[in-house]
Amino acid sequence: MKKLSIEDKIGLVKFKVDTGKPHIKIKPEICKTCPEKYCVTICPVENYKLDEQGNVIFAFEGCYECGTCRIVCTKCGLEWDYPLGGYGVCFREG
Amino acid sequence: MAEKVDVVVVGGGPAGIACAYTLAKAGVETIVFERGGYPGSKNVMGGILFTNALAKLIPDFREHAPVERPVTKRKFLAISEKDALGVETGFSDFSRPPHNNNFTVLRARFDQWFANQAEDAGAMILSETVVDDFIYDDNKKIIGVKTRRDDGDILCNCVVLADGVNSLLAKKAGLRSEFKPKDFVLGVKMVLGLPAEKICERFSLESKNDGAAYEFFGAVTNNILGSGFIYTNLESVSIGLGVALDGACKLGLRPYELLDKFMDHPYVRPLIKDSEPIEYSAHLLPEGGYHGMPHVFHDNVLVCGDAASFVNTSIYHEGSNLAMESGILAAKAVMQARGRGDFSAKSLMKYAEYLQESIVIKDLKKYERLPGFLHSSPHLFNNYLDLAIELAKDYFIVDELSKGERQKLMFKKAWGRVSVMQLIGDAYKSFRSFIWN
Ligand SMILES: Cc1cc2nc3c(=O)[nH]c(=O)nc-3n(C[C@H](O)[C@H](O)[C@H](O)COP(=O)(O)OP(=O)(O)OC[C@H]3O[C@@H](n4cnc5c(N)ncnc54)[C@H](O)[C@@H]3O)c2cc1C
Ligand code: SF4
Ligand code: SF4
Repeated sequence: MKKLSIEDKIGLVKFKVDTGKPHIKIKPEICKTCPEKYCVTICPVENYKLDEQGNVIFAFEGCYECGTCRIVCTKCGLEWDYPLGGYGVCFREG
Repeated sequence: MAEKVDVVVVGGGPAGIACAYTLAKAGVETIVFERGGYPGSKNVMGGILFTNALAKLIPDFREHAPVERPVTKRKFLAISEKDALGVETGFSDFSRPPHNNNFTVLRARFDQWFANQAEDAGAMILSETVVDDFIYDDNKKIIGVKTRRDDGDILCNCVVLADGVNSLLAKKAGLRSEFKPKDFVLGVKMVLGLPAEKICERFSLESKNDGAAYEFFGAVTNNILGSGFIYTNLESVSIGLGVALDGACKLGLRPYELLDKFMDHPYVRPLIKDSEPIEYSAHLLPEGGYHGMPHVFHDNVLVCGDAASFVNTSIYHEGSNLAMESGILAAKAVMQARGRGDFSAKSLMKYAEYLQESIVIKDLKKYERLPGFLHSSPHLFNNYLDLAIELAKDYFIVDELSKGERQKLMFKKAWGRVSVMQLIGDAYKSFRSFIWN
């Protein structure tokens, strides 16, 4: 089987995006001081990325709402909630 | 004035639906709030549905439920980077109904069907509705829930929390402590389309009424706590793995990269060759076991399923059945409390008693040492699995060396890697954790 990039993998899944209303928000000031930044490697859809300066950049679209970042965040650098009912990821197989 | 119902169930997964089904059948006015577009749209598991609890509710489920295949053949494999060593079961009894209560399912379809059955029994299922918080009276007693909808407050006599592994509500109700990485496993999974005949060929199955479940340990998780799986559906296979959050974070492992590597393992590659990628998903799983459980009841509230950490991870990976069983027991406790007109903690304590007498707590208690043991022994996977595979391979090598010389070398290799004391210690601890508590 051909290897799929993470973007291709997420492309297989349906989302209903609540545009402009992120259900997760990071606090960049706190993230700056975070030595571990576990969110960057562990997020299964790679929603946390590092820019050239090493700052964490977060995008909420494509989130699977798995809750992993909420649990591994050691610095309380994020506010985490579920999206509005009916929005967000919609698995068809599961 | 907010509307009032008898019971609010939060979450339309196996726990919540089993609870609502039981209540509705007994004529109790019940509403289920599900945040997804439909029940199942947020839910992912491996997945083998263990149907022992379901069969109590709907004995003829096999004729109607969207189950994929019965599991008639299992394999347990240790894998290293390139090699594999396994044992296989093929118990002919399991090829006949009730198939040892093991069926593969795809949750987005199964949960929807299960929710429809509860609806037919009289429960109200309201999808697209997030429950955000509780409504309290002046004495800080829960008297309802706040949903994220206009006029979304609903009053009730009792709330059943079946909101899954991330139960924000159990936390809000003060029933559980902080969520810690060591108590959770992250699962990532792909569903790959394959024609039914190809699946039968590759997994040596006689027909679409036979199914395979393969479990993998070792290199699949980079030798940290966790495991991989391949389960056959009717016309697809589910392939995935779960890794302990603490271990994966410390090593900086990216879950989907592990999955890519697993799918490219020489043992796995031919099984999924030329398949069509259908879906990539991820979900958490509670791993804390007996000692990771929150308080499961309080005044006017009960907790069941993953929200209560009811998963027997050990080697069985049983969550779906414990979720349903605990949902049914929660419903029973609610009905008793309703008969007494008393939903206080004292009255709902019956739930804890029911759980104690059921497989839910009995099984969790049996494996209570396991999570702690595995977390404190990271060398288990590393040392033993790789070594076992190497030794097995050595054992079968055919070349110029005599069998006696080869076996001497094998002993040397083994004792070079583990000491006798360590082996005895680990064997003892494994025995206590896996077999005899
Ligand atoms: C990768 C993986 C593989 C697994 N494999 C197996 C397996 O092979 N066999 C097995 O038996 N178990 C398996 N499990 C475990 C099994 O999936 C769970 O134990 C089971 O789904 C628990 O059921 P539940 O009803 O408690 O929770 P869930 O199925 O998670 O249901 C919770 C529901 O609540 C909803 N919800 C959450 N919060 C709110 C809110 N605030 N408002 C409204 N709705 C809300 C969610 O959308 C969801 O529908 C696996 C789990 C994972 C992650
Ligand atoms: S782990 Fe938390 S604090 Fe650290 S970078 Fe990620 S979101 Fe920020
Ligand atoms: S909830 Fe899961 S998928 Fe969403 S950003 Fe956090 S880790 Fe990534």
